[in-house]
Amino acid sequence: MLEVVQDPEYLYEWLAGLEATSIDQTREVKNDKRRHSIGENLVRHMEMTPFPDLLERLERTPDPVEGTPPHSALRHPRAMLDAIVHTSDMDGFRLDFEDFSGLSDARRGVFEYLTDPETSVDDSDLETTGGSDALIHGPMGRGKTTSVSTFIARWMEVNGEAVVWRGTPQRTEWLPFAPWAVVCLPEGIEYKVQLAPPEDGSGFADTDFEPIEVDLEDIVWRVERYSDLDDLNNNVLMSGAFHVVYPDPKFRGCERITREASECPPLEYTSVWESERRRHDPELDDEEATPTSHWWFSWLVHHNVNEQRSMRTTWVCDEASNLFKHHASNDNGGLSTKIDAVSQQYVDFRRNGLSFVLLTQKPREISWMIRKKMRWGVTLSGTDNPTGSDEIIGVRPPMSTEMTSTWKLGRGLFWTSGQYTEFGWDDLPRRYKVPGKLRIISPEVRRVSAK
Amino acid sequence: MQREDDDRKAESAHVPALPTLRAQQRDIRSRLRTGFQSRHELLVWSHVAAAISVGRVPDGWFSDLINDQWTVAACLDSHAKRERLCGDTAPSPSEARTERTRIIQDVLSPAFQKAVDVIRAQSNDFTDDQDGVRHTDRQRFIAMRPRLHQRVVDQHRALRTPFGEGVRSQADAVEWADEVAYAASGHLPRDFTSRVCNPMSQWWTALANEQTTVLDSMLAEDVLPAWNSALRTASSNAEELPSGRVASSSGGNIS
Repeated sequence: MLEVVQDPEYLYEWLAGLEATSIDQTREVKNDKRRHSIGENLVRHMEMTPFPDLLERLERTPDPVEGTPPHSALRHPRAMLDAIVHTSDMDGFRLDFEDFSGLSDARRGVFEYLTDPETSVDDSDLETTGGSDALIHGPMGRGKTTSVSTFIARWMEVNGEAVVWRGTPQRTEWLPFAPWAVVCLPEGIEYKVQLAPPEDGSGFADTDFEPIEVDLEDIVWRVERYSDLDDLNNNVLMSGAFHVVYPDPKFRGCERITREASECPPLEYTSVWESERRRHDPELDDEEATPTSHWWFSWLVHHNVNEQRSMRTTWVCDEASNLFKHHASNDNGGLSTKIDAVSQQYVDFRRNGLSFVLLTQKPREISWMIRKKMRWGVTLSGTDNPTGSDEIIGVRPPMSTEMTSTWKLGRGLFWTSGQYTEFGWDDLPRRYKVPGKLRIISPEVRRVSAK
Repeated sequence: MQREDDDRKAESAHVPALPTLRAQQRDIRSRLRTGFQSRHELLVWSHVAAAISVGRVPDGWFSDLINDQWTVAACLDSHAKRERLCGDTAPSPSEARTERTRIIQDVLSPAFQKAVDVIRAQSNDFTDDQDGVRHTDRQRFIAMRPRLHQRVVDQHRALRTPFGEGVRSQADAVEWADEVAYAASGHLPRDFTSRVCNPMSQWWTALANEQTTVLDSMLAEDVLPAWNSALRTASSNAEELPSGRVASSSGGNIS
């Protein structure tokens, strides 16, 4: 069996065979409000309980301390529910007039729950309008990826919003969602996609298999190309869908966006091609190439500049400390200035419906400039939860004692100012947990960089 | 300059939290010592006491207080009123003082102490400042909990309704009962509204005929205990969790 899962051909077949049944019949694709949403489709395939039913279940679940229902997630709704259910000013009117026409079944169910006087949570208990955020932290192997996958499914189901996963060449933790994934690649850049089986780890090199090249279209729902930031955010990203976005190494539109934004220093970018050209032109000063990942800073700022389209979006940034480095300097592509710029724009992200989800093993490795703006923390089991005056995010942790370090795998604490709740999640269905890695690499960028 | 702005903002929007709670508790005790003009005034006071104790008075206390003639008499502010209520058996001024002191010692003090403990445990963690934690010692909501504050306001409004413009029609009764049930956050029986609006019921008769004494009695028996529980739930914020350290349980699965 082990040899089978290490066989990349077999893995390819496994991945390509995964299906999101009826995804092409969803309300987003057919533009028909009577149909199920992509989020609801995802939740069904992941064998999760529909969210309105989950709320009913929590009403009957005893609180871990009080011993009587409802569960703490409902007793302290700001702790987790407020971060999951994103509402707009328009939703405020919907709730006031109890008119939920046109909403998906899941969102309507949640709104009906909030307006039902017999339930524990009232819509006025959810204080946040616009986006939310979450800093999810826990040691390796304690379920950061599965927990965030569960939250992603909930955000899509309940809010019908676009989710954007930060694509990196080496990490593809989003693979269980491949049948729902819209992979967005920059136009005009050639990519090589390799499937690598999991490492054997037995110490015998001859048992390792080589990666094979695969066709991305066979594996994911859609592959889209974008020409610049405007094109990506206005034409390519799809409301209600799950996207994996790979940054543009040519940084098209990146500098212009930051010049248009108010209260944002102009950010500078140098592509590998530009850097190479400068190196060979004696008339021009040498410029170090900007790391491709810096493209994300302008992508974030774009949400506050964009006048063409306002779409509720959740951004999921795995290994956030690689992007928002704690002790960032300006030596490396002006990283410190870029982090400052995002920090200054942060409040408007929430207002413009952009939610910010960072994953990390060690929160303190993420720049304080970003963390201090965040309002929700998620501590997974296996690590100490912060207490008292610990400065993890911009609100003081309400917990006075340490709890989570001894908790079982699959358990965590969701907290914000003054409130916290325990929560748990199930592992994803086995068939979606394809071992191995998908590498999406641009050989051209590597070749030019290597020079 | 920044600091001046901060101070100004704090003063305009906030009052000290724990000291305010203690002052409110002192005021509640002082009101009892002074005595009340009527049984209804005593009922309204008992609700305020429940709010200030964040729901920590015993649920059965309201009925013990309002439905016992002698206790009510002991809480009234003149001997003439006491005699009107209890005749020859009316409590003497010294008996009235002793009874009020007993209420303070046995009911209010433990409940108020519990409330202060609960709030003090995490008083720094409650803020209504959206941009992070500032002015943590100054808050404008009861016990620093906006949700609790809102429940108290809802309850107070519902408590006043039948005694003001009154409940004149079946539709008014439905609306009022719904308000009462809403303010109880699920702590009243589900058939409360239908019971109130049934023309054969004691509730309906008392509401339609503005029978203040009967209404006071039923509110103390049925409604105030439920509201008290609702306040306890609304205030049972994060501070209650650490006191009973949460072990790894299986509840709250979000999958």
